[in-house]
Order: sequence, then C-alpha cells, then structure tokens
Amino acid sequence: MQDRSLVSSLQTAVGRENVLTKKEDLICYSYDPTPNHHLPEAVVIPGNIDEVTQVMRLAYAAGVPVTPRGAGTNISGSSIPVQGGLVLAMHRFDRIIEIDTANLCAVVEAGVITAEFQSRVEALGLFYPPDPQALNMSTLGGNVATNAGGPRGFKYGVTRDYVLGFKMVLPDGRVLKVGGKTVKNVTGYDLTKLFVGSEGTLGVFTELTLRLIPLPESKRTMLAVFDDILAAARSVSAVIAAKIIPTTLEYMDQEAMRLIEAFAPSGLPVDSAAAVLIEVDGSERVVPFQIEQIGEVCRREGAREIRIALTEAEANQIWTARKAAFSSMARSAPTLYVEDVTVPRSKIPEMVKTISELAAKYQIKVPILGHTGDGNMHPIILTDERKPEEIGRVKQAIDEMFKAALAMGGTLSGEHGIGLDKVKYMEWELGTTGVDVMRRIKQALDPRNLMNPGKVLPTEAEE
Amino acid sequence: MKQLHELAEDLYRCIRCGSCTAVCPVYSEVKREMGVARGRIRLVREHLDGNLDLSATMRNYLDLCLGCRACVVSCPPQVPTDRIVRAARAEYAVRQGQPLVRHLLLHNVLNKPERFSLALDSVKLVRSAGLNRLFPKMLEAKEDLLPELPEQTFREMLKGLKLKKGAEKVGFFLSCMDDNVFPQVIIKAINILEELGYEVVIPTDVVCCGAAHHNYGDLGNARQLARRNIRAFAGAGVEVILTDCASCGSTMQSYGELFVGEKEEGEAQDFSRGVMDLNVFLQDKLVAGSQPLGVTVTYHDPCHAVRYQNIKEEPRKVLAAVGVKLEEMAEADRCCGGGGTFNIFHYQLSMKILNRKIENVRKTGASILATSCPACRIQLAHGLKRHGQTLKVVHPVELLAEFYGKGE
Repeated sequence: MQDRSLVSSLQTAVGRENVLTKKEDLICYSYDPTPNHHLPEAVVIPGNIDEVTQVMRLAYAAGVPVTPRGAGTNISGSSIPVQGGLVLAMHRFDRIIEIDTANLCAVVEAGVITAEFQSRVEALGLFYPPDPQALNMSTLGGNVATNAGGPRGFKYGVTRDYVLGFKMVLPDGRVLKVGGKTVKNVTGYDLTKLFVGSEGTLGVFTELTLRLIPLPESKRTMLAVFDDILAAARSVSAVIAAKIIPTTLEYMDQEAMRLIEAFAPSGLPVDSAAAVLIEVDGSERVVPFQIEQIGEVCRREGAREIRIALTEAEANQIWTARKAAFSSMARSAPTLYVEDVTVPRSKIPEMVKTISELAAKYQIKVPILGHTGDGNMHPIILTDERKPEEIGRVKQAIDEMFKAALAMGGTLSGEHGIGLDKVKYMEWELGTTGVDVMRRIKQALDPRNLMNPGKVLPTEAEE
Repeated sequence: MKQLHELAEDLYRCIRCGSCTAVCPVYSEVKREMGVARGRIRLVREHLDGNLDLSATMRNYLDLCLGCRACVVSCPPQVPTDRIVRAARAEYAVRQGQPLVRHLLLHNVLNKPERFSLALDSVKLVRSAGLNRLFPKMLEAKEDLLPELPEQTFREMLKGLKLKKGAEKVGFFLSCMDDNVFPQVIIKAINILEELGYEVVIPTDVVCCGAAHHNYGDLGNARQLARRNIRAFAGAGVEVILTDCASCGSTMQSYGELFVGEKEEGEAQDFSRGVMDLNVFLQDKLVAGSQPLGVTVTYHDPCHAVRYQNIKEEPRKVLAAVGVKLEEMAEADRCCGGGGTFNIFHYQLSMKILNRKIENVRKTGASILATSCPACRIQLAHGLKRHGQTLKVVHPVELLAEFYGKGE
C-alpha cells in the first residue's frame, strides 16, 4: 500500500497481525466465485465494532475505498475490491451472542457461518430457514448483505424475512442500530429492508438480530418426472392451487440430469424432459397426506412417474442427486456463470424455452436448475474464461436472457444480488428514476463513494 | 509424479466456490484465505501465470497444508489440491532447497533406518538423564510428542523370533515408527497372521517409505528410498505387502507415480499394486467370536487411509470381529493435525486442530481409541495426555490379538 501512514494507523487500530499487505496475501482476497478479480491494497481484519469504526474513519479520511467481505462465496462479484483500497474481512465476528427461546430470535455477530448457526438453533428445536447453496461456508453477515435466498424460499421466504434488526458501521464510521427483538416495529422508515441486500455499498453489518421459528416436526420428499416441461410447470401451479405450499420445488432439466448422471450416477430419469424435486414439511399427521396429494396432482397434470421416498435413505438419495448438480457442472467446465434470473411463476415454461433457444443460438451449454415455486431460475452457463471468443457469445446470450426476463415481468436477480456483472442492466429494470432514487440514497450515506464502489449502481458515466 | 506446470489445467478448474473453507482443519483455526485450498490454488496459479515468484512467503503458506485431502473430497470440480501443493513444494525445493532443519530431517535422519534409531536412542538417553526437563517450554512440549520408547526395536526383537512357515506367504513392511516406537503392533500382527495360517515375510533391509520426502518435494530421495524398498521385496516371493501404517501404505501405493516414464515404472507399479493395509487384508478372514471384549472403542480414520486409500469400513469390520462396542465419534475422518511432521514444524496450530479431535473422542465415553496409523497414534496419545484423558490408543490388530488370546 502506498500510504504508509494509513497502514500504520490501521495497524494501531486492529493490531499489526490483522493488517495484511504482502502481495501473496492480497492475491488471496482478490477474487470470488465469479471470473472477476482485483487486488486490494490491504486486507484489514477487525475484531470488534470499535475497530470497524476506527478503520472506516481512517479510510474515509484518507479517501480509500472499503470492500466488506464475509466468506467470499457470493456469485455476483460483490466482495471484489474493484477499485483497490481495503478489504474488510469480517470472519473474526464469529460469536453467537444469544439464542432467545422466549422471543424466538437470536443475536449473532456478522461472521458466524450460516450452517453452524442453523445446527445450533435446530438443536433447540428452532429453525432458521434461509438456505443459500453456500450455507456451509457463507457468513450470516454476507447472507444479510446480499439478501440470500435458497430452495426453501418459496415457503419460508428469504434472508430479509428473518432480519429483525442489526448493528452496522456506516461509511463515515458512525454506528447505526436498527430494529431489535420485537416482531412488530413501524418506528420510522423501514431501514431494515433498505440495508438488507445493499451488498456492502451502504455500510458493513457487525451484529444481527434474526427471527427464528419452530422446527417443523417432519418432512417428506418426492421426485416427479415429466416428458414435457409444460406438464412440469402445470403441475407446480396445480399443487399451489390445491393450497399446498411445499418447502421446495426444485426443477432440473434434461441437460442438468445428464450431467449429474455422468459424474454422480443416482438413477435420475435422463430420458425425461425434466424432473421436479418436491419436499413438504410440517406436522407428522399432515405431511404424509400432503405428499400423496401432490403425487396425485402431478399425475393428473401429466407426470410420467412419481417417486415418493418412503424412508429417510430414499429421501437422501433424491437429495444427493440434486445436490450433485453443481459439482457435476463444475467438473464439466472450468468456468461457470451461475445466473438467477427470476420470472413470475406462470412464465417459467416460456423462460425455459427462451434459455434453450439462446443456448442454441450462441452455441453454448446451459443446463437449467430452478426453484420453480418462486420462479427463480438458475441457468448455469458452462464455459472457459480463457476463451475470449466464447465468453463474448456467453455475454451476448446473458444480455438477451435478461431482456427476455424483464419483458416477461421478471427481475435480474432473485437471490444472488447485482454485484458487478449485472450493474449494466440496472436501468433496464429500474428505469432512470429508479436508478436515480437509489443513487441519491447512496450519495446521502456515502458522499465520497468509498463503500464497495462499483457495485450495484452504475456510475453516472456508465449510463 | 506430475510436475507443477502439468497440473495447470487442474488449477484452472477451481471455481473458487469456497467449499474447502468448510472442511479444511487448518482454515478452521487460522481463518485466513492463504490457509485454505482456494487461496493456495490461486497463489500457484498466479505463479504459473508469471505474476508471482515462488517466494518464501508462498512456501510458508503451502507448508501450512496437512495434505489431509478433506478439500479434495468436498471439492465440486475435484481439484487435487494435495498434488498441487506437493508439486509446488517440489519446485520450490529444486529452486531454493529445503529449510535447514527439514533438510537435516529428510537427508540425515529419515533416510537411514540406523540414523532414525540413533536419533530416538538419544531421546531415550536424554530422558533417562532427565535432561528433557531442562528444555525450553516449547521444545519440551514437542519432545513430549514422542511416547515412551520400547526397550528394543523390532529389528532387535526379530533376532529372537521364530517365524512360522505357512501355506501362503505374505510380506510385511517394517515401518520406521513401528520398528522404533510400536514394535508390539508388528508382533501382534504376526501372531494373528500366523494364527490364520500365513507365513509372514519381513525383509529387514527396507528403509523409510519416503512419505515425508514425497510430501515436502524431495523427490530425488523419495525415488531412492522407493527403489530400495522395491528391491528389498524383490526376492521375497510375496504377492501382497501388508502394512499397519496408513501413511506408509498410501505412499508405497504411489511408487508407480514416482517413476512415470522411467525404466522402473512397471516394477514400481507392480509393487504399488501389492501394497495393502492390514485391516483390508484381515476384514474378511475373521470369524466373530462368542466372547466379546466388554469395552467401548472409538475409531479415528487416518487421512492416509480414508481419503488416500478409500478405507472406511474395513477397520470397523475388524473391530466388529473382536466384539467390542464401537461408539463412533463425530468427525471420525477429520484430520488429527499430526500430518507426519506438521506437528513438529507447526506445533501450536497442530495442537489447536488436535483439541477438536480430542473433544470428539472424549464425548464418546470410550475407553479405547483405535486407529491405524502410527503418526496419528502419536499425535492422539499426546492430545489425550494434554487433556488428562486416560484412553488407551491402539491399532485394531492389538485388540484382535487380545481377543485371540495372543496378547502379552
């Protein structure tokens, strides 16, 4: 880092061992799962909120950008320090401060690993439903900053629905405290909704108060197999029309199933057009009837086959296949673009068709997974970042895909966030007014544009 | 063994998803990206792309890998981080040499059985004179890693042993650790094998398997040692070479890779194919007895067994045959932090990793902790002692011998 006096002030603030400036160290904080990367000038690892405050004040005074980072598992580029400056690594904030069973909530530091928190609350018969794919690695702070969702989103909602309050350090170093343990809170503007999903552009979370619910008694799993995707889509709608809300409705297309079977054979019907993994949870008395009922609905709507898991082992087998999807894709190509374009549920067949047509047009491989309950599709583009010509085609296909989704009344991102790569589409969805409102909020809180710059909002020159 | 540049394609397959951060025992303690596969792979990639020298800093980061392979198993694209780390260490060793202490260990101690015994003899001498109590605290703790040493090495004991003839011969590899620290394990293995009707052939001109050399990139010595071991078994007339040491087993199973494209390749591959873990050999040859031993045992899976040789059920079958109650610990296959010599070079970090293991062991309430690698055994015994736990650490074959009435 050029500014030696800033480095020494940072060292005083957080301890010499918690300021990293060697090239080897900077490289290790320059990337995330997207192909983007940029070296920071220093990595700072604070241990408490006072240290974060000091770091932010120092950085703000020096005009140095700050990029907060949880576990670096996002797939939007949001933790890459694209303008250099500091990476603020939050993993030392790893304490679960309190699990309050009387008020069904928990107070945690932002660096707690999602899965560790879930297993702690589940041991007490409680449930924290948000389940992003990276939950074994991701931090709760990162989940809140990106408003992460997951397969259970259809029934249980996303991270935002479980944030009751938080403590955050603002770009200028002031501490903002919002909400608390009460479920009801209409005091003033809803700042929780504003900051959740702000991707580190408005400040950095240090402490979270999270809502918990009782852990469902039991669950049942099935796989519905379809010869055409319209029947799959009809079935999903019919299940919901029958007033059953499954926990998950996970869609896998033929190409996804073929890849899974190639790398981790688990008996998926690769000759079918699509399969939907359906899980219901709830009371032990109700769940067995619901799963049967869903089976009947799917059959009526044209399912070729219904596989209801009778034992936990059978349920695990179905889930193992679905969970192998990502690794099978990762083994088949060196670079993955995992998108999360989301459309109204009724538009799923149309979106699937559009994606297949784009894959053919641009000669790229795009297996599709999706959370069909909430219209959140995951087209996964298999490519190689070292082939510029192919990447060019990939980017054109992505442009067209987003255009099509927006035309269907959809949105750019269901659960991953905007980060870097989707910044250029923001105005397509929000219009100039929408972008302008967001920009004014950003300017009010971060007038020097130092907090995770380059993310979420296009700079004025980019328009 | 593949050189670093030959692994470039594997490096590019890392999708930086971070799955390794959830399973890496080192990362769970250091919590820094340089201490996990994702970071290491990126550093090596930047080196191959010409953006980063193989610096001493980088070597230090690569040295912080236990080689436990937990990341490889959980890696969506299955990037072989253990191979990448070893190849990078080898390249560094060729360019810059080894650090002095490691150089001495690899070249002057582990290379020759008599030197290794001599080194341990001096430990015995120091201990008997009480000189170890004068060590600085850190050295004292490290010295304590080494358990009480037996009166005689196995090589010395062998002179008084009369090995039985049998219908079928099996080879047995005499590991440095067993020879010098746990000779009773081999004695008991011989008893069981003879009881089952086998003739046990134990060449004494074998040398160190070369695990540490392999691990730290000293491939010249690794090949030299491999040649000598292959030669030691050349005239033994055995198809199978048994070992009770998971590390020796997995190292010798990779001898073929050490000689790819060289004239010894075929011979080395034949040798590697014959190497078999003792538990694997025994599992289907035992008859469950009617008099179960009334003890509760928990089992620790050595990395070099469970993730290098895919051995999981076999030792448990051996324990089942003994009739002990097996109480599985949480994370039975998580590395104990021993890592061959990792516990010597990174003692404090190694102890943090070990603490978690010992806590998992303690929760089982077992009175015996079984494992199938002498290096893990030393580490585990050290951890139990540090935590005031009284469990005994054994190889499954020792319980088996007790069951067959072949104990002391």
